[in-house]
Amino acid sequence: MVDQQCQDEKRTIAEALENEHVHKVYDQTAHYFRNARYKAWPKVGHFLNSLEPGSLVADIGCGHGKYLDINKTVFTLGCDRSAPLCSIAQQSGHSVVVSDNLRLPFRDACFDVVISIGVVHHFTTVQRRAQALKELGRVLCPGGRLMVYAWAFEQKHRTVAVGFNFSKRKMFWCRGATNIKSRNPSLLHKRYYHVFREGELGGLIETFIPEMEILESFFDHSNWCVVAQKNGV
Amino acid sequence: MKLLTHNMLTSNIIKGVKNGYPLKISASDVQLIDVDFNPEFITRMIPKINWKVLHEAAQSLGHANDLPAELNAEYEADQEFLKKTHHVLLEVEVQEGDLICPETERKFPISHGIPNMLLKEEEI
Repeated sequence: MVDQQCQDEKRTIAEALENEHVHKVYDQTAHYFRNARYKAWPKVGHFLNSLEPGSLVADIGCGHGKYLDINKTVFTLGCDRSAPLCSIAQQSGHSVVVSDNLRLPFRDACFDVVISIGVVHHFTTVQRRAQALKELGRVLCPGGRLMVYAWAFEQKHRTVAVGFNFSKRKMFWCRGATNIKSRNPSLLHKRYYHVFREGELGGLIETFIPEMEILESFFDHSNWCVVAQKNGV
Repeated sequence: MKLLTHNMLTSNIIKGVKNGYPLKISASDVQLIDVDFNPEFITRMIPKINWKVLHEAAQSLGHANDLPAELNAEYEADQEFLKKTHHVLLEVEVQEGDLICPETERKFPISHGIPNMLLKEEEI
């Protein structure tokens, strides 16, 4: 009973932190992405372009949709927690759904490929990062492939994470904080990141999605990337 | 929202909902858009979708026309059939309306073509 209360309390804190330092920040800075010309990362583009024509792809945490039209021979559905970002993606002609990575509103095994680029690091507890990854695995069909990118601890530009101490219920800024310049330069929006150590992302996938086999693991653009495949044909 | 997207959506993320599929569609604005027809793409897409759900969704919006209720085994060679399938999968867009959970009647709004599937805390 006490354990349950503890769990509930921790969940409430995690949700509040993600709401304030992830969801609100993206909603408030969405307009910035509308005009910014973010380039697709080449390795993600290459992965998408290597897919079989007619593949059904989900981009979970699609943001303004920079990966949604890389490969015109597949159908890519974008999902994001931020309605303003989904709206920008939709205005570029993409198919999007506002949804939560922890509870993806899709039937089991319906996508051939799932990508998650820069998303899982926004969850504030290991349980929530695991749950987010489990959901990605659940919606993949047998034989389907997953590509995940998450922020690495081992990077040159250590202007990364905002930490949070659950026992003290205090937020602390470790190794600086990432800021997005908003239109008003005096405003800085602080986003929460968990930084992954080498092997941590693959380890989470192996532990929590045993039906996935890791095909590749590499460092790219200050992130750890894992490509994995779901068992079965 | 395209009917291809609808084909994958479920409301079983709501606490207590077992299946949540398919979601009913209540549409106040449906638009038809032109999408280039690619028969190979459609042929590969058909085995991945739930045909009955697609047919019922198209029918409920009044866009099924003469799309067959059941798949013919030789559909790959049937260009007319592939064109009709292309139309309902990709060209019919629900702009405004609701997706309705078949078990709880909970409504998920579709606004400017985007379904919002976020839940409230008490639904988790």
